[in-house]
Amino acid sequence: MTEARAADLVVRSPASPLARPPAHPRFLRSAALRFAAIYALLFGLSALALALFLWWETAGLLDRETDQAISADVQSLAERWQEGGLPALIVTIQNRLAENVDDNAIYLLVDPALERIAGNLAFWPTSLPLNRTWAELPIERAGIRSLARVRRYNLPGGLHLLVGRDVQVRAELRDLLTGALFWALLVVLVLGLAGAIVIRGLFRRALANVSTTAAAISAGDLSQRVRITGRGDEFDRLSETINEMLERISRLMDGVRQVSNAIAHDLRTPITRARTRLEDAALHAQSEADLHAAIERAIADLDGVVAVFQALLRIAEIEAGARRSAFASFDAAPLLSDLVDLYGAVAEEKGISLRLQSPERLALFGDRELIQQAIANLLDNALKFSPPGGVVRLAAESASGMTAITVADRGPGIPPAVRVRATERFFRGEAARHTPGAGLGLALVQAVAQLHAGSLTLADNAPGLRAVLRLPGTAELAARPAATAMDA
Amino acid sequence: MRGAYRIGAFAAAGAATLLIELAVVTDASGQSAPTPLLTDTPQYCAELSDEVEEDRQALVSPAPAEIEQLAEEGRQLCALGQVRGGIVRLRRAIVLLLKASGHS
Ligand SMILES: Nc1ncnc2c1ncn2[C@@H]1O[C@H](COP(=O)(O)OP(=O)(O)O)[C@@H](O)[C@H]1O
Ligand SMILES: [Mg+2]
Repeated sequence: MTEARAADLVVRSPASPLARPPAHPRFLRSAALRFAAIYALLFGLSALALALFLWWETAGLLDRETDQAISADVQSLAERWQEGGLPALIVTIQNRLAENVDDNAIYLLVDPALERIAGNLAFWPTSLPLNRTWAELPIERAGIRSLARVRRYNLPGGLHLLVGRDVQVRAELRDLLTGALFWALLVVLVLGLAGAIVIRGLFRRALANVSTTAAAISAGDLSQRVRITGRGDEFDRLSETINEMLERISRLMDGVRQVSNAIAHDLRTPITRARTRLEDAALHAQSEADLHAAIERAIADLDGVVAVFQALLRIAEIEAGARRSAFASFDAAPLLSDLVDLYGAVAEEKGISLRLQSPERLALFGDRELIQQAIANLLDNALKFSPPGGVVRLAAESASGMTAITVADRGPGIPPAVRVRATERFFRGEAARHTPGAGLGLALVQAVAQLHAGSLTLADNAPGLRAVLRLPGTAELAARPAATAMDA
Repeated sequence: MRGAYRIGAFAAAGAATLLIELAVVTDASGQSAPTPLLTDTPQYCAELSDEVEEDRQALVSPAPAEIEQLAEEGRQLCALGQVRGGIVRLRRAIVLLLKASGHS
């Protein structure tokens, strides 16, 4: 992100609230609640599945066994009927009742008028629906109420057969189980709610850290950082990422602040000077020529100001990356010799020898005009800071697709302590006190390097400075996303 | 979130099934007058007692003492009004007699 965009972000965010996500029920907007709800749901679901399974395996199993026994009984009675007719069926029923040691068998055979022929039920139960095969039937055993499970079977000739079992014990067991399951569901409900509350608390606590920091920062305290718990978990990693982001934002903000301070400071001098000259001339000019001269000088001062603004805008434009679409492959060898020709005159004037050392062909991929400007800035510095009689060397070489362009002089160099700051906007070293310039030259070189996914390195040439500009020779290398200016 | 809603619907359906099941199972017993069972009566006790006697006489060899005792206990319980207990013993005696006759 460029400084310009960072500034945009900071200025704009309070004014334009972020677009709301599509409307959800209000309570779902709390992620903590949502997680808690999902937890409770999953918990309840598992409990329900468990309850259903228990039911199926106990009460359900007993029911199924009873039904199977009854069905088998009906089956064999029907066979009896087929083999020996009504008398055989009656005898079989009586025998079965006589041998029913478990004391739970129920039989009833009735004629078409529902009159009892055989069996131990007193009469055809009126409550029994004729269209149903299976039914639960209340019975009375020696005055005590009980429950039977019965199956109806129609025999040919209008006879009806009822076969069943006393399932009172089973019913009691089932009631017991029902009660237990009901209470268990209540317990599950309570546990689920408690768990959900705990989950919500955990979630909130994990986020509280981040949100208090965010709140402090939006209240203006940019020095706040998210506390790291040291557990090294996901939340810690999130906090680290957020802290890195905050670090970067504050560095960008510092950069912006420093640049605007520098602009205010550096431009005040020439503007004040121009103003003083004009005022002076207005008050004290003796002749029209004096006035003209004063105006001329003021214009020159203001031109300098305009030039600084243009340089700043150019750097901003480069950093925005808009010029990347104009990238092309070209041979930089002629470009270098042109530059040497151009600066040769200045060098000669100062008694400096300017030497070029370049291969026949030098493949580069990028914006030709910007690269030329960058190398010109480096040469300009080298010549500017070199003592008379010095040597400035311009060298180029290609290795594994990257091209390194080196400008080396034997001047005072930049002390290691301030070398990293030399590419900042408006930075001017001690040595530069009495030389012209605004401190934007290296900033532009740096921006050009970033734009091309290349780099600018400043090194000690013992004595002097060696500036190495590395640029891609091919389109693939240029496509690599560039690190940002502030991180360099 | 959509998935969670769907799971919720499933859960609700499951709970409803369970509740309906419980309701059906529990209400079946209490809707109408119960039908009396004829095999819990002193008459049936007497019937079974006669059958024991018949089966015993049908045996070639004398009945084992165990069966005799069971039948006697059954009759006594019936006489004392403990009809169901008596009937169970008599039934057991019949089953054992059947077995004994099957073997001889
Ligand atoms: N070749 C060099 N030798 C010594 N100091 C240098 C050299 N190039 C740059 N510098 C230092 O870095 C500062 C920034 O350079 P630059 O951005 O080009 O601004 P300017 O040339 O306008 O001073 C200079 O003021 C100077 O202190
Ligand atoms: Mg310069």
